Amino acid sequence: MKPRRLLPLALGLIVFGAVLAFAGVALNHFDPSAYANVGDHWYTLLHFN
Amino acid sequence: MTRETFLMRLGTGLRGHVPAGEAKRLVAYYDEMIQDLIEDGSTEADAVAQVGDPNDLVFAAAQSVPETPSQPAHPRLLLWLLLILGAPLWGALAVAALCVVASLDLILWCGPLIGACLASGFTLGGGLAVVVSPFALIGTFDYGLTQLGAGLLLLGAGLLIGWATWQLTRLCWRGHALLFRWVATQWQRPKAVFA
Repeated sequence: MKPRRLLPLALGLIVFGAVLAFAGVALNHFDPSAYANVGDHWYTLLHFN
Repeated sequence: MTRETFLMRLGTGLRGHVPAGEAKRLVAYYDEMIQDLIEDGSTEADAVAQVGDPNDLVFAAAQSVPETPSQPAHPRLLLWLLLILGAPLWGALAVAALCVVASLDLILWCGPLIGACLASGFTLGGGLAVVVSPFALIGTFDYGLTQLGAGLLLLGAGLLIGWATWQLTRLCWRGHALLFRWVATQWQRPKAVFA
């Protein structure tokens, strides 16, 4: 891939990722503490314990 | 022959055969001689004729110019001797200059190095977050969505920094070439020596 084509792809990923991350946080009611209480999920156990 | 013609032929003839200062002095000398003869009562043509033929005067002047002193027998040997004897001084200065140039080049490449580290870190971290996000999406959809979004954002930032690093690397490569071209010209350009 040519470097010139990389720029729109990168910008697109940033915008799309920001929208998805915002949507995820919105689904959690903008509560950062909610992310700390996921110890019962197998995925979190796998990664953080 | 008029005085003007005589002086012009003399000046032209002397050019290239005697040094410029000597030619000027000779022209002034013969001009004064002609003027003295005219003041003594001679006509201009007679005065010029008494001084002589300009070609003969040029020939005589060219014969009287001393030859330039010959070059020393072994100038290169002397130069090498001076270089070897002066090595402790110029060698230290040369090493210091080399270190300065190498430091400048190192500083120049720090930007692309930092950019490459950031780009690779963001791209790898973001990519990994995106790859494992489907596991997080199972059961806890909102957490998984946040991770997928953050992963894509990091991946995009990594690619963006990578693109910027690529542009910076091209600039640095130009700067590197300019720096070493400048260093190379220092050996080719003749230097003035003040002693």
